[in-house]
Amino acid sequence: MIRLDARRTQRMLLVHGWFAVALGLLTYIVLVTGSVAILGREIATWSSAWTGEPRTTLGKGTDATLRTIAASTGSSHHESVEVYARASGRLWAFFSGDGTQPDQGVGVHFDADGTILARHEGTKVALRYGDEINALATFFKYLHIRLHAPDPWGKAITGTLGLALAAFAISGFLLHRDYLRDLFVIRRRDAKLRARELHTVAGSWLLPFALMSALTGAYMGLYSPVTLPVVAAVGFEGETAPYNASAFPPMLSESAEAATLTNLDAILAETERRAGRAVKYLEIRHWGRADAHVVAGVKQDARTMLEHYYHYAGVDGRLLQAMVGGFGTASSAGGTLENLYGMLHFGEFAEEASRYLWALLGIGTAYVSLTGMRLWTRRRLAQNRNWRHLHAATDWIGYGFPLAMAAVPIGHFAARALGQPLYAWMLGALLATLAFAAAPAWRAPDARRTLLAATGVVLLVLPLLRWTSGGASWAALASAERYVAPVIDGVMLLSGLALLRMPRRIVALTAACSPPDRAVGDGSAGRRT
Amino acid sequence: MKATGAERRRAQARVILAGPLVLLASFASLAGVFVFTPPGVAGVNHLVMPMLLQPIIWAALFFYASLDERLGRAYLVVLGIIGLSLAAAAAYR
Repeated sequence: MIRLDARRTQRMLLVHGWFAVALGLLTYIVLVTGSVAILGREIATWSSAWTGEPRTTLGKGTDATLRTIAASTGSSHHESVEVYARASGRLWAFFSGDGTQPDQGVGVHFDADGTILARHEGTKVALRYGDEINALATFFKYLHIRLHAPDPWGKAITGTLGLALAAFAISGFLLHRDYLRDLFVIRRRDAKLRARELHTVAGSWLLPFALMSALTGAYMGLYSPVTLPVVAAVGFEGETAPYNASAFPPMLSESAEAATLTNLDAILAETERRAGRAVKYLEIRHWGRADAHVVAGVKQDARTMLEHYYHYAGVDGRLLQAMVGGFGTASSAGGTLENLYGMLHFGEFAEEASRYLWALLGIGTAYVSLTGMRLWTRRRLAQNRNWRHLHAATDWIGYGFPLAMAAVPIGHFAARALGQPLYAWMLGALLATLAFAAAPAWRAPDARRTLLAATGVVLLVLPLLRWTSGGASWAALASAERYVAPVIDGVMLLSGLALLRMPRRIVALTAACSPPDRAVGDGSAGRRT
Repeated sequence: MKATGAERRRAQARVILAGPLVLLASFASLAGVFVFTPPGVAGVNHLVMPMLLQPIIWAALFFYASLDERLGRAYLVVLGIIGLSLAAAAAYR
């Protein structure tokens, strides 16, 4: 255990507190959105519920379907083909690249039987939100990744927030006098001291998770806006293209000669035999050429739990290389560590169980950051009234942002029913609800009661909106034995009811985190809850 | 108890060190790690490791700069890392 002297402890307190003041609310947003984004598969399945068979892997019949799609796109989109199961359980193939517009392509949704469900044309970026089936999950994903701010700023901000979260976690650890004891001890009867101990105990348990998420998230956020350009500047005269050529070198010599692609079903079967798991990702480079290259990706290899890629020559189907991660032409320490970062950050090492656990731990970490912010502002507020604005902002974001996120599906379903652009309506719902939440945060004696009740009402309305805006009904889903959407509907209804009943209890429980008396001085003395 | 002028200046110097200078050092270290890491059999370790290690280097330097009582020594370490990394980058090019 690291024991700091009084002066260093004071310095760590300042680090812990001032990071919270400067970046605490944004960090909280990234934590909440990350916890929701990790459930993207469930969100997409819920928002675009269908009676077809959901798939998470690629199997027999993929070859025939892809050849049919390839014939319809024309050879101008055969430079690169990516195939995988989207969040909604539909399969997705994106044919792209004609040399002049490499990002332009054709995206096709299809089911396990090879039936084409939807077809889109456009750039990858445009198809992110134009694709109705996954739009809601994609919205939350990019809210977490870049707060919907333009590149490169969005990722640079979230990457920096990753560093801030690391500072919270490490300074929190250094502030413990006895970390092991603090994992278990809640002994105070006094409500205020008890709230502080709850923050400490929850923070102690979540510290390893917070630190892991912070460091891996900072790597991912800063990669494209900062760290890759710096390395490219040092080693590749500032160009990222030659960096990529070195990091992902071709395994076959170039040849534009026409040649027939090998049977992809055979490659999928061979990969499944080698990895012990079904293929989740398939990439075909140079379809129809002699240098065609097929990459089959397995999310969690049965032996190592890491992502494995199997590279095949596209014409004769011979195995070129099997490796961990996507860097280089063979497994490497760097590629393996990079892969490990991804597995840990996304909680994808044990299928659904790890993702659900990660979502809960993320919510727990957000709770710790919110209670910490309230404790900090409460103490400052006792000394100086100017801190009331930060305290109100903490309530606004702390309770208003989850409300705004719950309102995003309202924008999605309304846009779907009215045939309006999905992204604009989802963003509009988020921002309008956030603006609405500001009023009680600054004016109500305790905004939490209003905002939690409003969140409860929104959750109660969502299942009905999903159904009435064109979603599959419970009866249709139950008869097809598709239970994910009805279960999520049920969880929302129960959570909505709980939130409507919760305010009195939660206010009593967290009263200790309240300011000494926000009402004092603003003409509402005595209204403290 | 009010901080004396010397204490205030010392606190400001520490904020500058642990804030912008440490962030700069962690970005400069990308160059150092790139130049000094062996590529390995796959030829990619030097391309990947700098980015993977940057957040860890930032965290280590930030807390070192915050906690070292000898502020001059902390400045020397952080500025030394910046200088060494820039020199390595210049030599590489």
